[in-house]
Amino acid sequence: MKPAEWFIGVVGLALSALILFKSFELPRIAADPAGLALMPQIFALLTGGAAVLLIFSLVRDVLQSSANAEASEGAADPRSIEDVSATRRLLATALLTGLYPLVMMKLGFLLSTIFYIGAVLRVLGARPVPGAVVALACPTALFLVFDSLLNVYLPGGDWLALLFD
Amino acid sequence: MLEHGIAALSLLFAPENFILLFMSLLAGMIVGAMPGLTSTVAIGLLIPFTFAMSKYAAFIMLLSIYCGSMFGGSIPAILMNLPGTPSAFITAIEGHPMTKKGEGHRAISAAVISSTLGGLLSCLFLIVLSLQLARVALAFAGPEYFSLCFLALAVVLSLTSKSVIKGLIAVGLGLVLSTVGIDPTTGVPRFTFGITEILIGIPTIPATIALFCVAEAFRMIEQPGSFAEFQGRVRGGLSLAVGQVRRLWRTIVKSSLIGIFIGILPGTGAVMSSLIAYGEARRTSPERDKFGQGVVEGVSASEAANNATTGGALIPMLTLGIPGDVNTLMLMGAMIIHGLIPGPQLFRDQVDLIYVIFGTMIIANLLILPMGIRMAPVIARIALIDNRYVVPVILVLAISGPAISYGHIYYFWISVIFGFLGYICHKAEVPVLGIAMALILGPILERNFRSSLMLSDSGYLIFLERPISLVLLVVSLLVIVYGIRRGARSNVVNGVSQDGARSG
Repeated sequence: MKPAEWFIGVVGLALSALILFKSFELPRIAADPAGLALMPQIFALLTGGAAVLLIFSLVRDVLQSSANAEASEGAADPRSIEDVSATRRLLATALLTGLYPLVMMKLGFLLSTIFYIGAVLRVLGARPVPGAVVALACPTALFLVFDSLLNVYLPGGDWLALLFD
Repeated sequence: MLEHGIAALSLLFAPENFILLFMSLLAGMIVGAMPGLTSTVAIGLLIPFTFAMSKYAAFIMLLSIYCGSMFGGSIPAILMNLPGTPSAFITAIEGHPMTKKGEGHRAISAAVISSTLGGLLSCLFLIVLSLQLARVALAFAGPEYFSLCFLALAVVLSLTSKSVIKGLIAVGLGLVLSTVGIDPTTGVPRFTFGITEILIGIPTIPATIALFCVAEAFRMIEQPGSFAEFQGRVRGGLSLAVGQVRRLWRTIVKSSLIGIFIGILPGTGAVMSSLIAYGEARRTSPERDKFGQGVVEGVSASEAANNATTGGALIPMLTLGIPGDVNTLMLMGAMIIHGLIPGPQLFRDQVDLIYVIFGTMIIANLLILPMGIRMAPVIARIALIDNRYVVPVILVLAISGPAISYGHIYYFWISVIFGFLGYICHKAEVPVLGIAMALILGPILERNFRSSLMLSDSGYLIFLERPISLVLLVVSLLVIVYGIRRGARSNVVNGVSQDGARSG
């Protein structure tokens, strides 16, 4: 089924179509012969064309493999336990990664990073004590490096504003 | 030239800078030795920390890590059959069988001396070629830059993927995304959909770091843990390493030249140069039948080539503003952070930095010899760290590091989205390098295309009337045709083997 390839093909096609459609709304500028729209249109057509070819090849593969499956009466390859575990780990980590910026806005850099690292280590099956050490030490070290050494502003989070209001 | 060289050396041998170079080289070796942590990841994760450094210190650190990691991957590859970097897979083919025969020390010595000499030879070419090429490139105008970017993207889409279609999707996605935001020529916003944050476009540094580093972390999640043991001693010192030169010098020189040439080609890298150099060493060796069972020339070829790639890849980056490989693409990001514009104007406006870069490469490659010999057993043990504890740290650094410096949540979202995109592209075998190169080169390509037309009386023919531009465009077309034929041949082979499997 190759889901990743389908995703790339569909997203590539959708993005190209969107850019191509919106490019016709861009203003023309007399002094600029190529204009604002020409290059995005070329890029969108190339990407869209390649995406169509990819989707076409994937459809052909699906039809071929269905025909082969009928001919050989073969069963689908069973997924191993390791594959299922890896997928679960990946999905869980992806979800945590997607939530990380949201939590950072609320709790600030230090707390959100401690929770994030701790949660990811839990998902990966790390041992509790070394995991706790890494989850506490690493964000603290980063906080000190960014805040004290590099003088970079770190998000404090909404809870700080509530606390000091 | 001499006074710039002396000034650079005095800066490099200042205690704080020399210590920085030494520690960064060691850190690079350690990072290179740890499977999953490539030089790309190390450079990408450390770029945000260079915000507070001077440009000299930043490049001393990043280049030392680059050189160290190229060599570092060979240590666990030889001793434990656990390649630390992708190019070290080739080294492991001969290196680990040598260890099993009790010749691990010879393999390590060969790797060290080959890496050192390969790197030094590439530094020589870097200095000579880049100074000459920069003079030529200073005369380039819009059409030449457009054609050069076109060639770089053509090489990437043709050579970095088995499928030209996937290469084209990668490059196309990057080019499309590079048009988002305020157009720098006219100030008109494009494809922002009314979202204020997108006015600045897709920030290339968080996006490219996430494409490689976040994706790498997700790959490590597929197989967490550590799955090798280190049993053995590494003996033999500098004399053993230097003594191997008499037997290996032809292999080292030939492989270094291959590495330098491959490094110059945009979008290629150390894996390709190691592979080609190994193949060539095998083809010309009187012991070709024994390759695969532990032949020292195989180790030497791979290591000389992959370290020679470092200097070669810097040549197009410094002189033309075109990255030679993934690592120099990251280094370009570091340049941009420090307000530098990669390209021939560096040789006019930042000569002191150029010579510091040359000096750093030379000293780092020289130091690989003593440090590699001394630190090999220690580095081998560090390679066994359970990567479960490393993955979340990489994720935090890759997402937060570049984003925090800009101080807006938008950059975090860019890092997260591009990290997912990078991983999905890896699963789909779509070359992420194509997206990254196109994100960086897309604006340059478009800007020079439009400015050339604005200033031209002959319209689109301007790109064909100028000889250098014409040559570059013709070479680009040849590269694309080669890529299409290579893809078609590989489809035919796959089709034949599948038919054979069905009927057999």
